[in-house]
Amino acid sequence: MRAVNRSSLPVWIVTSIAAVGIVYWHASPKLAYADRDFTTGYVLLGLMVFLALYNGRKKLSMLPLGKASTWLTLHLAGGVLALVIFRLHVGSLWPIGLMHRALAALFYAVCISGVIGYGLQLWLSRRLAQAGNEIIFERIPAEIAAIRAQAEKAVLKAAEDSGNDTLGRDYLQSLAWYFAQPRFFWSCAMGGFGRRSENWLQRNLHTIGRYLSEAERAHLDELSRLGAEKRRVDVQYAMQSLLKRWTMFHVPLAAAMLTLAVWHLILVQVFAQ
Amino acid sequence: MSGGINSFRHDQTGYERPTLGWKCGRSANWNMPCKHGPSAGGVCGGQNACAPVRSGEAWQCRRPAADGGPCATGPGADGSCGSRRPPCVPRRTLAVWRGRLSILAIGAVLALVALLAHRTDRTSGAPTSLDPGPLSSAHSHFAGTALCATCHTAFGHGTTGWWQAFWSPAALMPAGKQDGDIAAHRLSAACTECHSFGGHELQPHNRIFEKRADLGPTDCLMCHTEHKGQLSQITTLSQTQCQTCHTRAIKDFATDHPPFPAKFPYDHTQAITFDHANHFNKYFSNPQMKDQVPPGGCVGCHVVGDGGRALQPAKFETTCANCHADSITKKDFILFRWPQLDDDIIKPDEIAKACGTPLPPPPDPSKPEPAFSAVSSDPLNLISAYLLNVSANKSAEYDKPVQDLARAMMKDGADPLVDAVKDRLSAGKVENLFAGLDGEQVRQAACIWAGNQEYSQPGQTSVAGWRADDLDLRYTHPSHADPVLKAWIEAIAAQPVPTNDDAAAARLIRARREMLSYTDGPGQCTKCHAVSGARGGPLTVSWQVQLGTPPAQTHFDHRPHLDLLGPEKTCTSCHRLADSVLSVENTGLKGIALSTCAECHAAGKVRDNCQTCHVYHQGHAFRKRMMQDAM
Repeated sequence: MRAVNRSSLPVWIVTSIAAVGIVYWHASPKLAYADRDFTTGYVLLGLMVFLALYNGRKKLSMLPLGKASTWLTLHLAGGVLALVIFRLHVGSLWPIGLMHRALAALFYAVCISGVIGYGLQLWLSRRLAQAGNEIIFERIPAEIAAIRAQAEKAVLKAAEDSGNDTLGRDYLQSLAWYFAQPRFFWSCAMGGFGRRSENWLQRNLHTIGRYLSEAERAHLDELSRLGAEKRRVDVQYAMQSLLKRWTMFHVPLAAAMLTLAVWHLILVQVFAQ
Repeated sequence: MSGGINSFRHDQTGYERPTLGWKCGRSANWNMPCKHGPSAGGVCGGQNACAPVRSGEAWQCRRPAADGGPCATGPGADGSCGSRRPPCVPRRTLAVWRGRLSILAIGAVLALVALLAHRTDRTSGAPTSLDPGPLSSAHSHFAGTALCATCHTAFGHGTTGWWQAFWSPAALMPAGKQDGDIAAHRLSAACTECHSFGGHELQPHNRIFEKRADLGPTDCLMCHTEHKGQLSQITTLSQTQCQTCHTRAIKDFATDHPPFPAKFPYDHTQAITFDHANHFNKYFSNPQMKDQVPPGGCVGCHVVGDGGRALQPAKFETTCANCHADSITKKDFILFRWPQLDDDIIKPDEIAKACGTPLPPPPDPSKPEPAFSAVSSDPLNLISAYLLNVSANKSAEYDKPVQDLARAMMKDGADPLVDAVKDRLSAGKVENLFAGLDGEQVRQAACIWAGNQEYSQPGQTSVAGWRADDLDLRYTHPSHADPVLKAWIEAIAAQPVPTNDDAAAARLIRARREMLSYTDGPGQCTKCHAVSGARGGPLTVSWQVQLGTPPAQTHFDHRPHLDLLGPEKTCTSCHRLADSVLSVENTGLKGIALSTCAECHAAGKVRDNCQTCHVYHQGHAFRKRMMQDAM
């Protein structure tokens, strides 16, 4: 994913022109203070409502409301425009007054979480493509369960073939933990595609291998292959988790900010005229 | 394993629904989820492997191929699935948790707003959800017990008030301000509860510009916004705000501002005429006069300590008197002068009777009666001619009125003269005009004059005040600013010139000229004190230093300039001496050009914005109510 691709260029050009136009308009001597504040305030609120509609668009995917990528571009451009208008509306980076500061703090929190989220999208989407073996997030538990079933089947087969349970006991003591669920989350998400996970697996397999018979060691290779497969699933899980979970901050913060903005609007309408 | 992201086979893979509210409990525990998934209500859908279908008398297994096809046990006799599993506990999906967090955030905000909304006493420092920020220091003490309602009329009116105020700026206006332009601006109306102006509150500059009918009403919030903190400057305007109406772009004072008038700032009538150039160049630099020159240059005459828009000159006694005190008292005011008469109509017995003097011996009938020879050779003085309304030079015209006056004065002293003055001078209080006049001396002088003789005052003759001397009734003023002389000058100057009597008009003009002459007039007052008034109308003499009316919406304060420039080059840096050609209004000074101010007030130097010299409002003041509230 690129930050600005060719199809989104017109949107960014229009946004830039709008931002410059608004700054120029705001500096116009024809405007009084009150008119400036009221106008920028209402425009900003309208823009924030539009930005919030992006979340609704995802819930109404059955309706022909345009492509999600178009909405994302509009969401990003609108966010940048909102920052410009917010600065003009407030007149400074940090306003005065408890309510104003609370509102500004929420606005900045939403902006920062949005920037972080978009950054994650840009970065992790590339990493996901590099990692390969992309899996739908909701299917990952089934994938892990399937790998785990194959690993346990291999261990049972080793016991049958060799007539001893060394591999079985070692599996239960160490490898079962690894195959139970996604492990080494941050290594998989941020590091070198789960290198820590791979090191851990190889170290344990090597340790176990020293005590196995020849018949059992043949099945150890199968466990090694399944472990590598599990690690790739873990990488997918960690990255997709981050991509989904940053919205756990962004959306509630935006909801709180919009609520406080409506309260601000009420106070302004009632008291500031 | 499913085979990756591209594997979508109905008989092999499930149909993921990430937007649904529930996910399989087994999946949540990293086990193999069932193919059915939870219901919309969150009930496990994986207890039965299939829903058997009745076919005739028997039930048929419908387990999907993805789960291994029909099971070995098959359906029970009652149609129940023969391959049952324990139920899982479905879990909420990420989307639901995000929604819940959003609702929680909204609820938290609403709860905080509601919880803190009732804490309206901002002076307590307790946080409140109505807090818009601290007031400026100028307003921070005016909330008082009325709290926010001091300015915000909607405050304290409950939900109904809020509802009304939300939809209409004109709702809940202060009493008496429901009509007119002010009714459209609730907060402006509150501002004018304490602030008053020299004109209409909602007009630009509080004035009506007749040529700019297109200018709409203004309101306070156009320029002033509050709740920006104690240190906020709510009266400071920007260049661009001024240029909302003043469309001539003035980005730089030095280059863009219109030039000052040529006579600025002396383009008004000077109350005191003082030729600075003449004094500095001619007199003050004369070594012979160095002891008489006020020390310190400009500040020797101008009182610097008072500062402000103008530096007033000090008193006459400490400035001008060193040189001018003598010349002021040199010339007396002569109210009446016994003129040359053609004929003596007052008989000696009449004089003897009125004045109690012995009758002169009867003339010798044998000798021819000597011809009448008047004791005075002067014409009637101009003031007397005006008062008696006769020609000063035609004895035939003034003979009788003068002798009638003398006849009356012989009996009643100064009273006939006072009555004559009352008849002719409508202005001036008689008690001021004749303060100190001795009626008996006037009577005695009249007796002597009637006898065609010169009056000789007994005792000292150089005492200041009224006195009769020789043929004159004169007033010697003792010093500068004498109230009697001022009263006479004011009274004569204030007489309007008659329009229906040319002779009378000419007499008044000549009398005025005599009184107001700066070379021959009594006191030579008008040498320094300016006379103003329309030609033919009443004239006014400016006794006190008066400041000209400053151009509208401008201000200037000498104090910061004095401190900045230092005592040595303070005044002449801006007030430059002129030659006679360039002198403005006889001040001996050149007009101050814009470039003089721009030497310092320019980009990169001292501030040069509009408010440095201009003020927006006209006649701004505080209403009495504000002070009452503050007490």
